[in-house]
Amino acid sequence: MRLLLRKYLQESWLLLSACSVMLFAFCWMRIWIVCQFELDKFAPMLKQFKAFEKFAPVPLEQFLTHAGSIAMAYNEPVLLLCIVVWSISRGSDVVSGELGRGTMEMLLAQPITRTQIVLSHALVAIGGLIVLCSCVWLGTYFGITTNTRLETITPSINISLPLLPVEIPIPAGESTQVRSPLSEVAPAKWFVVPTLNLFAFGFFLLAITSMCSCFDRYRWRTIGVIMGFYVIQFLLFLLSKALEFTGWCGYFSFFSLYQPDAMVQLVRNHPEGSYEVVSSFDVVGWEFWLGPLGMTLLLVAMGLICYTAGWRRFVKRDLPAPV
Amino acid sequence: MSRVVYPVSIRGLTKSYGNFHCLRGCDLEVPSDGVFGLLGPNGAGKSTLLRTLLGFLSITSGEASVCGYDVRRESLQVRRSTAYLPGDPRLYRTMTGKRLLRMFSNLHPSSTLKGCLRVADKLDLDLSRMVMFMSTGMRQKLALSVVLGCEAPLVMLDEPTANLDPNVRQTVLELIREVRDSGRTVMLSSHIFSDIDETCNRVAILRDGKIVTTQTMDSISHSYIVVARCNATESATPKLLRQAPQLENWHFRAPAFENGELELHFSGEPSAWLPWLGEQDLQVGRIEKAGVQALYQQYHSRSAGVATSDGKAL
Repeated sequence: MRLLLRKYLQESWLLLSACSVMLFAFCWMRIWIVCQFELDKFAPMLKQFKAFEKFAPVPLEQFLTHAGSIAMAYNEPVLLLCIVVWSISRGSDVVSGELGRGTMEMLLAQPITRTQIVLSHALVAIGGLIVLCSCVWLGTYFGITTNTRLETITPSINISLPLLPVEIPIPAGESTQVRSPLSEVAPAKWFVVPTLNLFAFGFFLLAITSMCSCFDRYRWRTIGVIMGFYVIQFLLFLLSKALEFTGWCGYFSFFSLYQPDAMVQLVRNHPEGSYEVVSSFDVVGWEFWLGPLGMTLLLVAMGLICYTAGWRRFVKRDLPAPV
Repeated sequence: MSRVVYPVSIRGLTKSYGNFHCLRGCDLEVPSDGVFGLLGPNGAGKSTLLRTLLGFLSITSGEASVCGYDVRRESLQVRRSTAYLPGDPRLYRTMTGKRLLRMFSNLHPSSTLKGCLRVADKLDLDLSRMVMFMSTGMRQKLALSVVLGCEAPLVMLDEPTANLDPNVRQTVLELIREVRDSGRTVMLSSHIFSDIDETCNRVAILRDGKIVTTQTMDSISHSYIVVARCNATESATPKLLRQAPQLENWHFRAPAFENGELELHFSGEPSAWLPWLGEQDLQVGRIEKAGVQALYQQYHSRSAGVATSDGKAL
């Protein structure tokens, strides 16, 4: 088992290192870029996209907050690409990869059980996923702790209107730009929940790819099937958002369980609901009956079912000779 | 009384995919301390038999055990007792030869890096090279180093001399004989008659998934082929058969008669059947030792069938 773990680590360390560096740097740099702008100034631009708000996971106004802007990183193609590439490349390798290369026969001629092969491969792949998600969070953490936000402060005098509980601010001097710690408005702990959700997303994808690999004998076909599945799932998710009467499509897409933006909004507004399994909050932007932890656990449970199905198939199937 | 544990014991082994039968009711017992040859044309079921014994393929019906371990239930112990060379060995392309030997020697409890290196050295293999930069023959040598460096009680070799030049082929056969001399058992599948002739002391022939005969090399070495011209007409040949002496494995090839020639197969000492041959109305052309090739051709020639002294078709 130890030897198999070492073998799988040796096979994957290059991809893992590249993706880890990329994710850490991306998350850190993205926060730095966010901090170079005053987000309020994007408000007129965002108004132009109001018609497309239904496709966004949260109200567009959240993107004008630092927490919301940072949370957007979890839906960025670069970040998802790294997680998807790791999950699909490692998952597809476990059985159909070895069979396709013809190396399974030499490997299984040794006194190794098929369960050991699946288990050690899964341990390395899941361990790698944990490393990648940790890099995302660490990049976010260092980004938040090392950057400051830009803020324009205009001195003003508040004038109270007689008989009305209203105060009107009147500018009383030149505006000045100041910088204050980003952690005041977007503490790093808010991003733990979406990072867990990202891990669950990757885990499910890894597990379903591994399952396909256990059923198949060609890696290229496994990758093709999973890419097709991914695209169909994404289209179903988009369809569920596009029209009211196609909303049911969302129940058939695992993308519905990946809601990092909404989670950050929930954590920000109701920190006590961060680890709810079933939602008990009526929060704007949180329209799901499952809580953040519930979504994450459901993805993990679906992944475990896929892993079990793949393992059962692999231990029972005939191994074709190399072609 | 203790039961004899054969390195390989098979009873009624069948492997089918729907209506397609790869192995059909195979019965085989491989005795220890020797080299057992499996002969058969492509698709006869040699590799399938070996792969079934290792648990790569599930058994449709029948029973099989390796070193006393049930193939179905104790596959791990089976593979612990076996070193296996696949027919088309594929190795990890990004590893160097030495790293690969180290990995496989660590994976098998009966294997040592020292043993693998010794074999690689005998095969004159450059282990510093990555597998991806090795030629087909070098990869075969590397796989042989993995397998022959392992001291498991049973060694299964599927076409071990494929892709090797004549010199290396001789070295491999020598290594196989070394394994045999060390008291271990080798099961060798091959198309090459000389490989079987030079190493095996027992051979089984497969045809269409069936084991059609199992013979010792001793009995094969006492087989002779007599090619003779026959003055009798084709219709008179059964009479000739009936007059044949009571010898084992007496064969008569019917198609050969078309050219006025008979091919007679005899087993046993020539002194037993030569007098009878002299009495026949035959012009003896040549008498030669039969060997494995002749045995193989009895079962795999393109002819319609082979008649035997007892009048049955094979």
